Amino acid sequence: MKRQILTFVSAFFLAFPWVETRLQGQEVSEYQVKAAYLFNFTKFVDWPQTTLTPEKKTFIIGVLGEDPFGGTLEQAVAGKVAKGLPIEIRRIDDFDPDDSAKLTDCQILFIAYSQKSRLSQILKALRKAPVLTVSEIENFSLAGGVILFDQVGKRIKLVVNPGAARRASLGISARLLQVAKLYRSE
Amino acid sequence: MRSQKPLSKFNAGWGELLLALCFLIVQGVCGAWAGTPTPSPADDTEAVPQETPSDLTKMSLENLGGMDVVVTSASKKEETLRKATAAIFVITSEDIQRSGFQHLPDLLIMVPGVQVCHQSADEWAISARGFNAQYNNKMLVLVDGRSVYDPIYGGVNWNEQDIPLEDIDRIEVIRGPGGTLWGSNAVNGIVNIITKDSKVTQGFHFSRSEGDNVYSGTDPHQLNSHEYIRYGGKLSDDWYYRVSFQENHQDPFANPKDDIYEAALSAIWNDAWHDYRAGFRVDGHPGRDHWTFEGEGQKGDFNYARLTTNVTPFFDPANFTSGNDLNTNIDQNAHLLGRWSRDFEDDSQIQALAYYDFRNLTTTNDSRATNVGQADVEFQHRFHLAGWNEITWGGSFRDVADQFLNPINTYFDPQDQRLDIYGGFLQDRLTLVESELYLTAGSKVENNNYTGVEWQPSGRLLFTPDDRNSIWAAVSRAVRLPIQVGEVADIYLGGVPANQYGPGIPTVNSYAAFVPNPQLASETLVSYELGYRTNPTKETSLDAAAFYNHYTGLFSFQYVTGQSASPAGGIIDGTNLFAVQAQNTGTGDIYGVELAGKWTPLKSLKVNLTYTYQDYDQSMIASSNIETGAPPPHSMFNAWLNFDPFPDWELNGETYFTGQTFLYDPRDKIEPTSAFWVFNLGATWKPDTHTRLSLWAMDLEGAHMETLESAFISPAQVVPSFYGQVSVEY
Repeated sequence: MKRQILTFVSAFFLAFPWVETRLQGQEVSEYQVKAAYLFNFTKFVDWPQTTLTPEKKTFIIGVLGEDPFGGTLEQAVAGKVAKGLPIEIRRIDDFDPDDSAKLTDCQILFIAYSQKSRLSQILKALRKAPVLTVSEIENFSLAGGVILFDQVGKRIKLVVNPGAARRASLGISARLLQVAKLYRSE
Repeated sequence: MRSQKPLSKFNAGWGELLLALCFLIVQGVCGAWAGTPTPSPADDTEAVPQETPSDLTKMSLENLGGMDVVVTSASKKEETLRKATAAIFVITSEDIQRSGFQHLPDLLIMVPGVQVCHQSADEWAISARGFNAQYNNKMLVLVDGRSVYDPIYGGVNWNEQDIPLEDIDRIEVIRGPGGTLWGSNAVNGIVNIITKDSKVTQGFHFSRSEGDNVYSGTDPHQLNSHEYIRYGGKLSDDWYYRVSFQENHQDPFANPKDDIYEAALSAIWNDAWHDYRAGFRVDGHPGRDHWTFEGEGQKGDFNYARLTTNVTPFFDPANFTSGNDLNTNIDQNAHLLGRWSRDFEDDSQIQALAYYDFRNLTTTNDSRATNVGQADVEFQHRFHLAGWNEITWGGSFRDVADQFLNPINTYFDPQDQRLDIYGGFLQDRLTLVESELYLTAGSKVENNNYTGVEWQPSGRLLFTPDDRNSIWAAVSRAVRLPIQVGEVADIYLGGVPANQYGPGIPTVNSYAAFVPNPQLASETLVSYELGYRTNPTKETSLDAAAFYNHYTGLFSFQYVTGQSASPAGGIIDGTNLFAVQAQNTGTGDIYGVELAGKWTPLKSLKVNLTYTYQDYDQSMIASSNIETGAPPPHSMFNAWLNFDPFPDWELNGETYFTGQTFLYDPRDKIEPTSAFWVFNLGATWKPDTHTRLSLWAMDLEGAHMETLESAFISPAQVVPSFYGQVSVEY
């Protein structure tokens, strides 16, 4: 019996580094990284006082269109706070031109790829609203979105449109601007 | 109990030792992998994290931007499908990686309704909705907008299109006509191969595979191998590039006789090929513009050594005897392409494309040489009008110049040919009910110097009652232009022994020729389609398409009395000339249903199923022959299963079934083909995020024929094979 225990214990210690290596080798999906970015934005962006009023109970991150995150966005923000408020993930299935309040309630709005054909309408509905718009649709910066997730090689980089941020009365910290590429509108 | 004690002790001792040894080995290997430092690309000064913390949100912005991620293109694929009013199927780069196929044409078997038959190791017959033949002239294939449709023989030289799979972003396959946007020859389908932007292929990529056919008859015996190397870098803030090189060797398949191991037959049989290619691509994204420049050079040796039994593709015109066709084709291709597009704030877009493509083909046994140069310029503009119109219009001009040199048993008159096609198109997508009902109508009008002006209109209706369901219907017309071989040029083909094509055909030793038909018009299709797409749950999706195709003016080769130019300089008259001519006498109807279903019950499990049923009327049989292609098989089926038992393991299994059809060859014989299965299994281990190690067993069903022997085709038997692949990316 003693010998068996010894065998198991030694096997466990022998196996342990192997298991650890396997976990390290785990691939990170692009949406895990994008979810982490979304949470990080809450720290590096300032919303106007008029938005984050004391009556506000939650900080809302909206996902408009077909959600590509799976559960990774909930995992990323679980138990975390933004600007002192608990974070709420709100899913909006489709864009309704008659109900833009659904969108302007959000502090961060991720616009999914499925909304590509309606992008200019959505951004028009959000015009000047203090919402940090984020998307992976290629011509997002040109269309007037604030932050674009831009794939370069196997990495996800940020492109910030400072004009769009200004129009939305958002303050983007120098830290964020430093790591991002700035979109120059002509 | 007592008697077992020594045994268990023995086991424990050895067991322990074995266990320890195994773990030490595994640890050593893993340690070596994990310990490999991650070199950061020269342009990137950011620290790349060695370890992935369990909570990514704790990472700095710099580190997030430095992480290598696994990219999925599923959401982009879904977006392509959602608004489509055609039977479209997208093969993504992940699908390619998990299919185990190593050559581009093989991939198309994954598409519902697309029939892929291996004729030999270097010949494929690929079609959608019927007309399956090596030179299937009713499907248009584009690589980044460049047509690879062969205007001389019709169809696609698939052996020359083995573009590196690692460079492909996605393949969009449309079954059915697309003449309104793509012009002539987009009759039964369009294959759009789209390569990756060089912005997403940064850094080093290397892959090498080696494998073997379970049977291989050649001496010396070689391995199948594939090698690919790519480097991508940054030119400036908005400009990226990549350069790549690929080399392939494929050993022969087996001869078509029952006994594939018979040495005498195996010694003759050789359909091995060897191919290499080098290419570059530059992409610029300054502001609202996207510039692309790409180019590639390719050279391949393709062997065509066949058996003499009942197949006599090579004739000696002097004494009317036939011999082994010991031919090697040397194919060379080069192209340069430039594309520019500009996006505007109002969702409108301008696009321009220009390319030049040159092809040289020489054959060793009869000194045939072909040169083809294609120059093409296109532009396209899309804009919105009055809120409910999306108008797309554009124009194109293409010039094809070709030349046939030094013929012995094939002679073209004239030797130099020219095909000019120019035209324009206009299409309007009208929003009839916001977010619910759309009508797309338009036409292309083209002029060519073979058949004159051709109209290819279409009308398409899309109904999207909600985000989960869409229904579409379409009526369209498409045309297939005559090709030069056998249809436009006067071709002398060498000698044909008496009774070659059955009793009394021809009655005496003759010369053969295709004589041109000045009255020849294009083949025409009018197609009626209906489609339904649904995502009843997040885990499932179903795509169904039904079609009814009515063809008129199908080419049929008729015996005529005529005369032909002779390479000796004179004229061969009707007395000993076996002359055939293409005539627009064929008609036919083909109809069917194609179903594709996807089920993703778990993140780690994906199941794909497709089923296709097709049928045709009797006039189709008379219109089907070796030249025009076989009618479709009644049933086709495929299933693939992708399973990740652990995060670093991928297991893949797939099976493809193609039902029986038949060929109607010039000897007036109808011969049934055999139905066949293809069965592949593979496993991939990813020791770290940069490395993939794969092992694949292909064609496990055993040696089999996928098409028939006939007067013009000498097919091989596909044989089982296996390979291992290492792929590294930094």
